[in-house]
Amino acid sequence: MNKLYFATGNKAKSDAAKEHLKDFFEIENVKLDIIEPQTLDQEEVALCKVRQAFDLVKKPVFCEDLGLYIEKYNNFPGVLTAFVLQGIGLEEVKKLIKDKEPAFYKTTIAYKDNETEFCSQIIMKGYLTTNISKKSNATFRSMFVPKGCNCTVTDLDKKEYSELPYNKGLYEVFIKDLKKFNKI
Amino acid sequence: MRSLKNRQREIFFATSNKFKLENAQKRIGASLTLKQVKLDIMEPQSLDQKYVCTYKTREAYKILQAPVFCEDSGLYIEKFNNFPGILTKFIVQGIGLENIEKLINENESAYYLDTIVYKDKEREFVVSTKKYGYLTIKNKSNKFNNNAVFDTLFVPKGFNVTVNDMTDEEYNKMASENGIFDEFKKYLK
Repeated sequence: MNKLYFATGNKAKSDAAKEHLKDFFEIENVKLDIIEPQTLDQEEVALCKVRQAFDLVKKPVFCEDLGLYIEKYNNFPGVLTAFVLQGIGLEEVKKLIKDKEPAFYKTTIAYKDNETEFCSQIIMKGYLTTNISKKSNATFRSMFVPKGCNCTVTDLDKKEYSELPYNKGLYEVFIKDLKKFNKI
Repeated sequence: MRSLKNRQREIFFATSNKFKLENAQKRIGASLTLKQVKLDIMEPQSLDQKYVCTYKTREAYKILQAPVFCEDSGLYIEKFNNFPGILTKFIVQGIGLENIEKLINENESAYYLDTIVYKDKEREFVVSTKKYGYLTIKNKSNKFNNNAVFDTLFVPKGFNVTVNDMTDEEYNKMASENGIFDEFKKYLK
């Protein structure tokens, strides 16, 4: 079975990749010293990172980027999600939104080998509730209610969580794109 | 040891901002010529201003192989953690200054952090200065400076008006106190 490298230091992400791609690849996660460029364009960030990763591993590799976007703002916080949480936190974010504020998660996978590079993307729509989950307030997941759900991502059970578009659906799109480019 | 002044009369300033270059040259004086250079350098996404500035200077030096410095400036709201700092441009672009006002109180403590990182063949150093003050909503300026958006709200310590509403005399007084280029000049001697 061919090996595919996943540039991530996040175990949960690498476990999800192993599960979803088990029929096609042996996944090996690598933690690399990669620079994230200063831009609001998630696709540009993902491509820049995967190019650096490919320069280092010289083998087929992919990386993943995720951001929460509030619809009424312009590409915000998006790729800056982690910095906004670190800087002001969710309680302050509440001052910027109303209850049931339309928002979405956008996730991009960027893939590169010695002949091809492409991005696979998925959007998960929903809204932000000002009733932050009591379980955790560490990330936007504790405010985000996906379309069709009645509670925040944090409050979903394990099965419901794994079925979310930005988990299962993302890899379905990625596999479709890998087939399109004759990688599997 | 000979001074840098004797060894090198010209140094590169990696910036695309002509205004910054003119201001820097004015503060540093005629003993040293600053040459503007616009380079295609990737700016890392980080809240660590010193890290970003050091990264850019090292990349610039790799390209130029000549003495060079970069300068970064950011406005930091003290109650937040390193925020928005060097990401100010993107934060303002995202939510607008009027929404940032929702996050702060009247007379909110804040400071500008200026950083210069210099590199030549023999040495690399970092110079930083802080300008303390507060943010006002009640007395905010009607003027807007695209290069320094918080100057609409920021009142430096020792003044009663926002940077944008200062007279030329007040502005020059502020610029001459603890200015980054004056500090940088000391290190170049």
